[in-house]
Amino acid sequence: MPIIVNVDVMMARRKMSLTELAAKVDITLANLSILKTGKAKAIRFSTLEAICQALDCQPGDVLEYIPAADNSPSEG
Amino acid sequence: MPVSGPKLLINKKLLFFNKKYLQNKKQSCIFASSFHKQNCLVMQTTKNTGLPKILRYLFLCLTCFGAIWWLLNLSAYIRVGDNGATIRGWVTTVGDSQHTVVPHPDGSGDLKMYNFGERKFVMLEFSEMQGMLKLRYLGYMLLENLKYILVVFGLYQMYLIFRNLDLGLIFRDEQIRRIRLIAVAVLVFPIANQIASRIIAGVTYEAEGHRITTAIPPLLSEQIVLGGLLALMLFALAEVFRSGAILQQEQDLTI
Repeated sequence: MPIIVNVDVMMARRKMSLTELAAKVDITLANLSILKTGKAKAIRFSTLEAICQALDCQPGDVLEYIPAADNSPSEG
Repeated sequence: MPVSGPKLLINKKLLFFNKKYLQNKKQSCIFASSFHKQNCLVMQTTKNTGLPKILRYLFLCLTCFGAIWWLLNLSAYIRVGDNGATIRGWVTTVGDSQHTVVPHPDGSGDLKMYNFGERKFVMLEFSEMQGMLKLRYLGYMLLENLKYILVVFGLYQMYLIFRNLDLGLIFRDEQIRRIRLIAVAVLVFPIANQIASRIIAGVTYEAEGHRITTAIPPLLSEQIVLGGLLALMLFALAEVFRSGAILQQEQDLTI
């Protein structure tokens, strides 16, 4: 997926542990782990808001768009 | 043992931080209560009803009852004693080609009644064990038993479905697999019945003072049509559950 979740980078910058963030955002460690490993299919605005508030950052700091490499053969 | 000065100070500090943490936690809980509600929505919708629990145990009882019923019948099917061997089961008999004329109860003419054959539960007794050990009779016996096995299997799958429903696991891959298995069982049951009737067709025996001959039942019998329709409905239900499982997976992976 070309959307990269940089929660772990922001956590490292804020020197915050996974457990601490989970407690602040009030989501389970399992769900936070899904988000961190990039397995999540979607994120609610409310969760994003809570994460941004807990990490004191902007949504753009947490999410990043990297275009996927185009493997299809070129025409012509 | 009394606590010394510095340790007591540390304990007090810890207590202070704990209190502070709890206050923060309370605030964050109020702030994040809406997320919690959203996360628990799926569980709440499936938790409160007692119907799945009742159905779960009902199907467990039915499965046990069906298994006992089959085992009791099995002992009758393969009863081998001094007097020979016995096979029991349902057969279709040959009807009369002639119709019977019966006066109408209202007096408005006559009723013509045709007998196209009927289903009878029969017991075929063989004076010698070897008489039963023919492919025809063994096949019939196997198919008759397969029908019981399919019923018990279907009931057990229903029990497993309602057990998962009771546990709140609705749209799962194993549920879809179970619904498909029940659909296959529902489809195979009348087919097994049809084949069993065709295998045994042509046997003549004495009953009720008449000679009765087993006949080939119609290909599109009521059982086959109803079984086919029910199987189609169950396959459609499995597809609905498959779509539900995809939505459930997306919901589970939405943080």
